[in-house]
Amino acid sequence: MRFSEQILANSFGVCTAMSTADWSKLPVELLGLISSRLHFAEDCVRFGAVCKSWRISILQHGNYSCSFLPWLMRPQTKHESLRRFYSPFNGKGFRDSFVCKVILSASPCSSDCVIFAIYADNWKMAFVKPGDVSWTPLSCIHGHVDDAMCHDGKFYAIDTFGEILIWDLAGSFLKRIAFTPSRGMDNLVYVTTYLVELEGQIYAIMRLLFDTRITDTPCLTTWCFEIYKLDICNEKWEEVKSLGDWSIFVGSNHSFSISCSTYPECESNCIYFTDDFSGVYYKAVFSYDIGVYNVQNDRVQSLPQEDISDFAFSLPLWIIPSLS
Amino acid sequence: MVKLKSNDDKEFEVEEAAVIQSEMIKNMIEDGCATSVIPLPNIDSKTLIKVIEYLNKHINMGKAAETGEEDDLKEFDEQFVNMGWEELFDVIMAANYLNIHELMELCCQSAADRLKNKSVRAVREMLKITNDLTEEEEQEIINDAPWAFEGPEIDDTVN
Repeated sequence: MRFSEQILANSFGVCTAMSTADWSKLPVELLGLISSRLHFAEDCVRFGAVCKSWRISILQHGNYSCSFLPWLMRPQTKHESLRRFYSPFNGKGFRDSFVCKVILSASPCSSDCVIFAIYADNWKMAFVKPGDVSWTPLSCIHGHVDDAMCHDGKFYAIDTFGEILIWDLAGSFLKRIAFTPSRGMDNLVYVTTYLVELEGQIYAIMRLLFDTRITDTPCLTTWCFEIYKLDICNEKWEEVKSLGDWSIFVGSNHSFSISCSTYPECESNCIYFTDDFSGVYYKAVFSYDIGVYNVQNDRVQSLPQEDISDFAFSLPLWIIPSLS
Repeated sequence: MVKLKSNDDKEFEVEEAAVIQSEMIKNMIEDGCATSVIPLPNIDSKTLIKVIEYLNKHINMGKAAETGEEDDLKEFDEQFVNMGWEELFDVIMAANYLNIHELMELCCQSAADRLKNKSVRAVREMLKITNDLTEEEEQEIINDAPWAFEGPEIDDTVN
């Protein structure tokens, strides 16, 4: 139907005389024309929070992937857990959390590499693949995520509710499995759980810390580790008392294992840990909580360390050097 | 001259040079469908008067630059969009229906300018929008970008 015919057809319809202005019923494409003129990210976010149709317009018009006026990210301050941002175009300041941990499914040189990030104070996760224009958030996260890993074409995360969440590499949620450590939790001990692959199996490594404060400032110190192996077919966890010829490296880095028969310089059956503040405190007080836990004799040996950094988020990390 | 009829049966005569800024009417004229009165069932007379006022002023838009009337036109536009939200809604709908590109731009820009820095609460009240988002949806939006809802600078007034 051409415009002219359409008008003639419409003219036989019932006429409405008075204004029926209902901004929630403005067609989505017209809402898009308005929202695309909002050049400050915060205005666009609030636009999408007004009502359902405005939200849909923002999502459909891809405003979220559009670029807005730049912000200046302020240098880190000593004690803040959030980074501060500033817009010179309207003089406003913001604070937002940042990425806590990044996990790669393969070498970043590989085209199948998927990069996962835990962010927003460990409450959210997202992934990105080479060629993607933006991050895709992972759904179904309802708690503080401690750690995540890639294994066998799937993506795993463990949260503080004691659940393992599983997605495929396209980000579709598959299932959750309860993590059932034999140890009962009490309030005196702080726990962080890491996920690590060892000889093709999934392990959950529980790091138990306690508060060794002498002053009012909390000071978490690693006390011991407990190791659990996942029987993925039966969804059961089995406590393991030895890592055999292997050792594990945990902290703010992605958790990994090393075969000590291949690298005999590395002490076997040990957990090498660095301070990640275990999501509780943001500043080391006297020294970092870095050391080696020997699984067999249940002892912690400290590693030599430098002075405390002034920067709360400049954390010590385990990395594997590469020359490529 | 072209005759336009609003949905409350009022007729308006408009110069062809003015009215062809509407792509829709331009097409009708070119197709020979505008011999008598053009009925506009979606537009009331109050809104149509506003639109015609705009069309008449912008009739020689191309020449404005030459004659130094650009500032004059700019001032007119500023005055023109100085209307209430209800009226602005009607003009946007009419401009969309008649397919008047420049008028759409002007009105959408005005709407965006007025929304800048406003709190969600203020926007809902000004535009008389009922919040139909669930509590969970609202919380999710806030959790996704808490920084957009913080700060004393956000304008919570309704004017």
